Amino acid sequence: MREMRESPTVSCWVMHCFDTCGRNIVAELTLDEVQHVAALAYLRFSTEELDELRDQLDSILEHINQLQEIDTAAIPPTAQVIAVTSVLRDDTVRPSLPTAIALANTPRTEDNFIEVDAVLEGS
Amino acid sequence: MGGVTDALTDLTIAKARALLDRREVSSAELTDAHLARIAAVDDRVHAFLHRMDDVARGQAAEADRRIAAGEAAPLTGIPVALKDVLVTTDAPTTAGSKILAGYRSPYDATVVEKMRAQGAVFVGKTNTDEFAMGSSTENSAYGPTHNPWGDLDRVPGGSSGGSAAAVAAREAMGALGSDTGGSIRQPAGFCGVIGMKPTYGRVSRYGLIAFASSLDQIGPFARTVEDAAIILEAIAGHDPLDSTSLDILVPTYRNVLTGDVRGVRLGVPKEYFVEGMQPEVEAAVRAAIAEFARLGAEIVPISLPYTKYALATYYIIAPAECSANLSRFDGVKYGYSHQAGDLRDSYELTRGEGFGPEVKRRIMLGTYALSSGYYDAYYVKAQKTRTLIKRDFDEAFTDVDAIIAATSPTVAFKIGEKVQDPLAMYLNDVLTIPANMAGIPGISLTCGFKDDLPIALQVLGPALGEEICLRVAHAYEQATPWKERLADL
Repeated sequence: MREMRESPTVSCWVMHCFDTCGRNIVAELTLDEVQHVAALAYLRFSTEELDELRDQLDSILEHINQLQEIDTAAIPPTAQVIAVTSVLRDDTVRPSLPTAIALANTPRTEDNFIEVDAVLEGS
Repeated sequence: MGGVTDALTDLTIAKARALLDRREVSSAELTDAHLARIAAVDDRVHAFLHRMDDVARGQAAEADRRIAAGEAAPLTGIPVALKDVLVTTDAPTTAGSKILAGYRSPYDATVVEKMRAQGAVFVGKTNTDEFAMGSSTENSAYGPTHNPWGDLDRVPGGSSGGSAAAVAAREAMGALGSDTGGSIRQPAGFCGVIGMKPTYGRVSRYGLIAFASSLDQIGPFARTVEDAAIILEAIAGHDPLDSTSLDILVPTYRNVLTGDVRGVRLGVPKEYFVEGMQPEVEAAVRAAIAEFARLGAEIVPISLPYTKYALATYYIIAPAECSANLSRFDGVKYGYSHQAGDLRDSYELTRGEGFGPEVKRRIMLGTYALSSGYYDAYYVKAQKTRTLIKRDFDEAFTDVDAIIAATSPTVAFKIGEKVQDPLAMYLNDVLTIPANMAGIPGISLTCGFKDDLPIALQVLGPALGEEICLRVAHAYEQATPWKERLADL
């Protein structure tokens, strides 16, 4: 994948692969960037895994970047394909799962509550 | 294996229905035959993650009482399998992931409830790529499924590979799967069975463990088009628990299976004969097109110019949606939990250890595409491209009734062949992904063989065009010998 970046086909589309802010989005990911995304996603990786992941994501992003050649300036985005929006129901009390059943898979509970580690320091 | 047991597991649902209703066979016998078949072959196929023998026997006994009372529904007493991304109260649900090992749902998915209400018999939960992310079922944390065709060294496709293999191996008469980018149609094609992705919104997704919510749809596997129609009819319809399910009457799908396609306009998109397609696949699809012409259909060459961008679009939208959907797996509420004493450590270790490599790769890709500075360049760009892909289909369906194309560019590949190259694996889905982008229905069926391995064709219809898909597929199935051939196992 690294070698492919040297090929003429790749370098000719690199030129127009800038986003609306002029940011070059085909630059190879750095390890720091991959680490930053892992932190956003609450995932922990070993250094070797991060390295491998960077190469794999680079190669997938290289494929994905072909979208930049399409002119979509006048095209509205599609988030979903059906015409249904904002389905509402009456706000009435209905039976729901009993607490014991709802918590049956929970690793740590106390008095019908889910127990978690402290969120704020010193609490 | 031999005699009566083999005969019972080879039956179609429609034929079994007739035998059950005439009391020539009981659901107990039919169920026992399938449980025996699973016991005999599943150590080689590994279609199932959880067997439900006791549940199945209880359901069969109940079904026999219901049949005796003259109250049988189309699926009463019929042994079926459920993909392990559909939550069930009476068997574990793992989604093929370690992070849900031992998880027992407190409720049933709506489709499971609907099948139960019909009196269907659940023989087990089937293997899947972890969280339905994959094209080979090799991403299951519980080991791969083996395609029943050939030498058992091929993948069944994915992600619903377990459901496809179970039906092909006659371990179940039908099954449910889910299709986000081809996860029903591609494994159906690889395993030589029928697989249908309904229109987005046609079937409730309540209780389907979410992968990409704007693309996911549940659908049937079966060995005939008629059987697929019977299952689809059972699971389709509006559900107050899924606001994206459509409140539109469910047709009697079996009524459209006339065998007649005279005058039906079938579009053949030139973009679906992709580079890298195996010559045998192309030849089989072209022969199928000729067969449709012989049956009186009008063949219309069409163009869907944005097809080539569908894969790239998908690999932004699906990971973006999955990165949000899978944030719920945090080791706090349910599932695998690494208690580290510190909240961030607990989250990161739980997810780092609980998810497999492909799931983590997609969460990373999606998180990156949604992250500050890249949102417009990737996510919004992909949503706009999705509009163009959908418009291609909208335009095509003003001129044609249905579209026919290969389901996959190749037949089933060998286990292990593509695991080291994620992009090569993704390229497998290049012909199935566009339908998910547009939300339209599609059905996959066998149209030939390359040596001992099935080749498949898909029929795509406009939104809510399940009837034309089924009718076209059925007419071809009736005119060709492929459905008579069963995996030799």
